[in-house]
Amino acid sequence: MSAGQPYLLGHPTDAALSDKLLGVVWRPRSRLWWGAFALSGAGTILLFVMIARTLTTGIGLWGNNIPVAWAFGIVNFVWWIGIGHAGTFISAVLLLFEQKWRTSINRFAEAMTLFAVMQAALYPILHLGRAWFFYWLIPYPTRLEVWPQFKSPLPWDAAAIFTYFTVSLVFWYLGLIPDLAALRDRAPGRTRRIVYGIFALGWRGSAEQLRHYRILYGLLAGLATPLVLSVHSIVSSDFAGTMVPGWHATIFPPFFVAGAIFSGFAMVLTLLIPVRRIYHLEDVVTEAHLNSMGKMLLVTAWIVIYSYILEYWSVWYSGSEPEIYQYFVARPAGPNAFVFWLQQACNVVAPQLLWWRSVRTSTAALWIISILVNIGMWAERFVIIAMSLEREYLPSSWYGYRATFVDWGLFVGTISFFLLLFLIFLRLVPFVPVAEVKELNHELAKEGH
Amino acid sequence: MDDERQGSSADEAEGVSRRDLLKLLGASMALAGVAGCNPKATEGILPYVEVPRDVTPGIRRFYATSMDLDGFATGLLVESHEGRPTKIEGNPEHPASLGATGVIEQASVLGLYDRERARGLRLRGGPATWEAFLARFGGERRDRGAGLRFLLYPTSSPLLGDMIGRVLARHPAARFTFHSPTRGVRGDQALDGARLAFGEALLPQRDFSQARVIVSLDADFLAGMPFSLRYSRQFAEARRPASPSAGMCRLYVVESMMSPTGSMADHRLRRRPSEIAATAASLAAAVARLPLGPQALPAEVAAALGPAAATGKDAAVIEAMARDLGRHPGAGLVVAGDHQPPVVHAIAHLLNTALRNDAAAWLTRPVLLRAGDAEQGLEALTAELRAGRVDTLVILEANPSYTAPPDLDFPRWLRAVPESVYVGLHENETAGDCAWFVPGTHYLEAWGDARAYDGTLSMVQPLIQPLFGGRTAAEILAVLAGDPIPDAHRLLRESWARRQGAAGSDAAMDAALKHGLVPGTAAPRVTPTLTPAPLAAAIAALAAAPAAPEGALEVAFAPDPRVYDGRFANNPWLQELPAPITKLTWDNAALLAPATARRLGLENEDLVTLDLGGRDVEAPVLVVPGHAEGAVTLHLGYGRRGAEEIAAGVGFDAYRLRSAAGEAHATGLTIRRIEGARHPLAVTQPHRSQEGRPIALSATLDHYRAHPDFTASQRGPLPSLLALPVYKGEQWAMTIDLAICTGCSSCVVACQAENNVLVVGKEEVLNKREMHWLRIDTYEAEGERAAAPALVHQPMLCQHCEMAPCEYVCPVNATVHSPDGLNEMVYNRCVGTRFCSNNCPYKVRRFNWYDWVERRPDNGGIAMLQRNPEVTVRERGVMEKCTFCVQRIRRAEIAARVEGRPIRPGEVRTACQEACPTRAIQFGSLAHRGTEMLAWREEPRVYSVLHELGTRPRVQYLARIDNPNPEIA
Repeated sequence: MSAGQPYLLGHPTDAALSDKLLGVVWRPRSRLWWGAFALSGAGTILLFVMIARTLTTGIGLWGNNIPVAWAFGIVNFVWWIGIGHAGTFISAVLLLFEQKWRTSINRFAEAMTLFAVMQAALYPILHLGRAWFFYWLIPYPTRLEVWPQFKSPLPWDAAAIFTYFTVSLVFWYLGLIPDLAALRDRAPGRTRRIVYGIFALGWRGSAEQLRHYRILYGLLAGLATPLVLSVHSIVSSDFAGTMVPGWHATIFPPFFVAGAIFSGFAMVLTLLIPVRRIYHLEDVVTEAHLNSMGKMLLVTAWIVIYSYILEYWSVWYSGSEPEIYQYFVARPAGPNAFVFWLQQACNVVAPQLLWWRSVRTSTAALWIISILVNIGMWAERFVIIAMSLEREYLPSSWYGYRATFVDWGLFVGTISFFLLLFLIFLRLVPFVPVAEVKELNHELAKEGH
Repeated sequence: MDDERQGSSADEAEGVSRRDLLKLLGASMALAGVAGCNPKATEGILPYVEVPRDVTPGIRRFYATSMDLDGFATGLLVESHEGRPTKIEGNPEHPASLGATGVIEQASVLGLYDRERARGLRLRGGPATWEAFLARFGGERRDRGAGLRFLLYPTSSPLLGDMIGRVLARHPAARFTFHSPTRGVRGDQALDGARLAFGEALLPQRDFSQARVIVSLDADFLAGMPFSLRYSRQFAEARRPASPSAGMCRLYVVESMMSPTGSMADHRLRRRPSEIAATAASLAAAVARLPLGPQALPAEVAAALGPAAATGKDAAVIEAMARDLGRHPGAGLVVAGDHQPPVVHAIAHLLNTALRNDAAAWLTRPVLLRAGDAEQGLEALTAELRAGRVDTLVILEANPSYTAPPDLDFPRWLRAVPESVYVGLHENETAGDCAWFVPGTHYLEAWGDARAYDGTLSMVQPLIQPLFGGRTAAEILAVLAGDPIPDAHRLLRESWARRQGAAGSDAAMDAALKHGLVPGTAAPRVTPTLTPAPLAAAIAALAAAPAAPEGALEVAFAPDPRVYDGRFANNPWLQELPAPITKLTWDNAALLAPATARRLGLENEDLVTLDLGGRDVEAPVLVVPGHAEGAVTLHLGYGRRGAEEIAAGVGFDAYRLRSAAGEAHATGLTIRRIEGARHPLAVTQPHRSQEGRPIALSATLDHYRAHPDFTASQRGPLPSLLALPVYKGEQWAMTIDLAICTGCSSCVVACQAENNVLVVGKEEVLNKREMHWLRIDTYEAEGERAAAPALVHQPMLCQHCEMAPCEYVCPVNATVHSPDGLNEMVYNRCVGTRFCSNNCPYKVRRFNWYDWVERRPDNGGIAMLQRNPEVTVRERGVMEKCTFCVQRIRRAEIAARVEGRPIRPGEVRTACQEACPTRAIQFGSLAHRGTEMLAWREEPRVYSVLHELGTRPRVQYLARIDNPNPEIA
């Protein structure tokens, strides 16, 4: 990456790094943290109230209708799953490509992935008319010998999410082990040391352990990498596999993966920039990191833009009137068309600012762009999922969609729950992988000589 | 008052309790022949085909009866499960039905189980007893009945005629008023028209199957007239082009609001209500100029018609219509709408006579009862009330406090009557103004009789004992006639015996009850001669009348296609039925043309104040393409103020604008928009363009003849990489002919009744969550007819695709294909992903967003007695859709298997098919031979909707064919 820019400022000692990065875990909680915790806690309570209402009263509380049988629930699901992609991408793919800049941010991104997948996984279950039978989508042996219908993308979807969550969790945990050991050794108070000790699984940091650890980590990275591609490809087949105009497109799997990584990077930036500022980590998460992330955002933005263009081209080329109507009339001018224009503004226009290095290294500009991309990617999912259903084959059944209070409550609730988990994560384990940063520190020191 | 009412029945607020339900079931079992303790159990009623020795649980039975609407009966067969009427079918033997039913008949079974039906006698708010009523009204009067008045719906019932005679024998000075808001306060326009043309009051009869050219002068004969079911069948016979070379009748319609009849028209002349008479006259003038032979039109009349000749741009059209009529002497038919003034009816008679349309149009004596000197109109009655000359007014079922023209101020004078009695199903507006209230009977609880529009004597027999102790009109009249223990069944037997003389045996009556009618009792044809002088005078007066000032808004009042005059407003099926043409549910609206709306700066859902003659109402606006410009149509029957909770607060009351002088239409309406006020309208199909897609195909007959294969691109095999399934045995399929679908929507209600489809209410219709398994999509025609604008109706239901897109996306195998070609929905297995609905290009799947029974009390309680026990009621969170009436298929299969034979062609009929008045829906197995369903599929105009998607639907459509006059560009 950009030569000359270090991914670690200064030459801190290992002890200084440990103090700085591990200390976050046991330093007293700030007012800001408590404020954020209270706010996201309240939002989480809202989430569970809305879940309870949905389960007891019915999906009717949402704005869904016939024809728009999928809307906020699935939009949010895809959005969260997409966000969840950056973590694994940064951890696994960049590891395999030996990108050093991933080091300071990979823990962070992985945690984000886990929490985002947790939010995402809520929706498909809540979204069922009879959520209590969600396990019928899982191929479990039963004496009735009724299996899921494997032609449908949905059982695969369930399997993909479950696999992705499991692998992400194991990968994240594995990365945590050396740091948990460090916490065990340095945390104040006996209880903490015992708890951290249990989770550290007897890590001593010996060369033997490190060798095994590296092999396992590499293997898991190899295992996780195809998942980055497969999960969103399978999610996209929920749409591509149908004949709904606006869904029925073979380009969807790569298109969705690109969009997912795009939104995932944006979310990492959205979260990382304030945390970096609050915990004064400018020397660990340096401008060079932001610059690299900005470039990734720009690259993925262009993959997404290219997909948009291809999508419109293939629709025009298909000559299918309902498809053409969907893309060229309903989206720019149909009901909820402003969401389409929001998508274009956020996903196509805003990222172009990243061509400038000054924008990429300005935390404020980068943060705003990252938020716009998050909004834009949500809008994209809304356009694809809800707006396509508004304008299907029979004009007699055309109808608009409007979200209800419960829809918004669930959405705000999952964002809050996500932030709540994140706040807890910040205080429980180091969000920068200390061991890896130390390693990088040594490598840089070696290169320096 | 509420507390006292609840005192009379503890369960009233709760609908029906388990105990009540068992009681009702028990009572009805008793009625059907099982030994019970009620004395009525011994009477027995007679099944349609076979005498039941007993009721076999699980085996349904049919009984013939008749439903009387404003005096005209429609013969029905009512399905009964263990004594519980659940479904209405048409009586194929009955002339008014021919096996079909309309929306009101279909929905009437739910009216029986209306939770808001009154449950006890009442005197000035307090509970009362039948004995007290008998004591009060059964006694002698000293004034020979001079202060005794009756108000009832128009009736044709010989039994009621008898009872009226008995009342008059005892109280000779009593008077009777027959009133229905759908008939004129000032007399029956059709009879007056005949009086004008022939000098005597006669009833026009028609046979549309004999007509090659039909002209409707504001007559919605396909959906809005007493004999519409029969007319629809006849029209379909004359209309359906079985092959490109087959002939089709041609339909011209002159009307203001687009009606189902207008939507079938080959040429539709949009006219303001006041212009229709002039258009009729100019048509007559044009016919008069045809070389029809000597004396076709009386010279006097022809002369009077001179000034009526059309001028301007319409002249050519009207001339062409006249020539078309002239080209088909004896095979034309001119029909005038019931609400048109007498002169329009007279012109129709004149034209039918001049064109010798005897086969299609003739006359009979009136069918409705007249009470001779003892009859008086509503205005006369009100005058008597005002003068205080009435001490006892008995109102049987009619609801004048709601429907009477407001200038009569009827409710005020009614409240001033010392002893007023209201007999009806609900404690409605009129009940609130009367001292006494006696619960009436639903027709499914009543013994009685009535005549069909053609005079055929039809029998009414109860399917169930009166649920709430109701009394029939005949019983009430018998009380006033001095009968101490009136009993409708005995009264009917006595009346029958008296009228039939020697032939009046019990056996003969039993036969009549069994069939639901007495064959051969249709009124005989009379052949009057024209009376030229009054006719010429009326036409001259018409020609001389000043045209309504240009720019003045006119208003037309019409009964609602769903709730009629308001008497069915408490029926949630009818409220939720999308009105034909407008697709409006749970409301009425000020219906006007797009141009009028533009001129007035109005758009859909704007709330406006309608002001007519100093009275005003607030109404929402609904723009209807095809409506005449400069006119507003208001449907009656909404804005109810009685105790009926479902009807309360729905829509606005158009009666408040309707004066006695302007019952059908009036001029001088002003519309003021209420700034910022909106009223959401639950319209189920806001989008009517087909967007150029091949959905509801249509063509003109000429085009069809030139290109018989014009639908070829929309059918036949498509290239596929998949192996097509091989089908064996019965393979169920449906064919629907759009050329004869009038959009009347009977099938929609029939499906709802058969399949336990629940009601969701206005809010949820606005959320697009209505549950109808079958809907009528109404599109604007594409192609040559696009400019008209012409409409095409398309019943849309599950297409039972052979390559069903819903099936492969279901993650749990909850929707699968049966070996006999049905796309099945396994409710038990459904988890509610709704993926199937997304992938259904026809959007026919319906989701249970809520527990509808929990959410709407009118779905539960006593309404559950209507449920078809052969159909599962779906749980919250599962998908549902049309099953091709699988319960009927399986029943036929079981019967066939028991009898060791294959299923016979035509043995399985779906609910929509049975209800359809034009027989536009045909169902059957592809494995059978010789059915209409299969024959239709051989016609060149058959096609599949969205054929290019490769779903291979089992429902195929025949393209709509219109037959416009080539002379009219």
